Amino acid sequence: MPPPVTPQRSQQLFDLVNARLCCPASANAPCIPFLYPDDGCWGRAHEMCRLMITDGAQPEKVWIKGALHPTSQNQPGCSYPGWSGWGWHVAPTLQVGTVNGVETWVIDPALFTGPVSQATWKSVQGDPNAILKPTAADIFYYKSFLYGLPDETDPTYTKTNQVLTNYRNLLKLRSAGPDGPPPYFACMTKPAGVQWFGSLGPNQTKTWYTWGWAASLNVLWTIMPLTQCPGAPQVTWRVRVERANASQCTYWIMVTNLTSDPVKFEGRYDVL
Amino acid sequence: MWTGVQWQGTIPGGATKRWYTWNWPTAWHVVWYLMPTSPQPGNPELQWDVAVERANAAHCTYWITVKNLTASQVTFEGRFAVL
Repeated sequence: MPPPVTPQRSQQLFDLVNARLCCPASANAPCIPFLYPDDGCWGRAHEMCRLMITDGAQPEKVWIKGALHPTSQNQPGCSYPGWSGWGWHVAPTLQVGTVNGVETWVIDPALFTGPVSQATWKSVQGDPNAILKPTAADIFYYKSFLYGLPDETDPTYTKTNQVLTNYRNLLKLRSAGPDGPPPYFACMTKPAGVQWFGSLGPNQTKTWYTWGWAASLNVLWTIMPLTQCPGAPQVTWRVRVERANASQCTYWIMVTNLTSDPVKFEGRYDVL
Repeated sequence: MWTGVQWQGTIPGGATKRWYTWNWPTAWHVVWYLMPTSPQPGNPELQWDVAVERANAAHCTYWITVKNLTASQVTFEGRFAVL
């Protein structure tokens, strides 16, 4: 078992691999298609291990087998039965020193926004009877556990790159389809302070309006992209206001997509 | 609501420059505004635009483009408010 790292170091390693996430519509290599949760976890896990090892870490992997029914905003079906889920899954692990002793934490940006315990990782996959098994990082495909076949390794990362290429392409195809890029609004509930979910095509500018606001309220409007795509600004906006009558106004919010990829966003308001 | 100064900037006369600040939680509702610290009475000194990048599920990067409307150098504070 490798020596434990600090929780801060585990978050740093999570951020290291998560910084490689694919912009869904372009998905340029060498990005990792975390936003295509349907399949390809073994390629993602092997690439994440490679990145962490290059950074001086000693990751391992955890494999889970069962009737797995995770939930994701990045799959148009959202959750079971709209999305059939997985028969198995894999992600890298780290030994982490905590106040409770050394724990195994999982690095899985397809499911979480930071490192989580194995118990948490298992719990979101919807099968309490699922079986977990650890391996070293060099096991690319744990077929003896999954199918009773010989295990595979991939020391040259040739198979890893094939898997990543395949699922990058599937992510691009999905993003170019009628549902657009992830996330999917049908899978989401509007949080407090969100007036609407919107979509913009590449380089598109569009105006939304919202009426019946009390003119006596001091309201600010902001836009937050929902489509993840690191590296450059995605959206900007301008707000105009119409005094509709003595007591009410209408806000007109013009949002511009600064990128050549489609973008989904939420329109937020705050009453000061 | 709470407020702060994220950076101190300097911009030459007539110039447009862009600053970015990363790793802001996407759950926060953040507004950005500027305050000149070099008085030049009589006319507006600065205008700005804000753009946002969703870096990952939990964090975003704000890109603030600042335009100096005067012919002289302007120093300023880049301020934020978390609503």
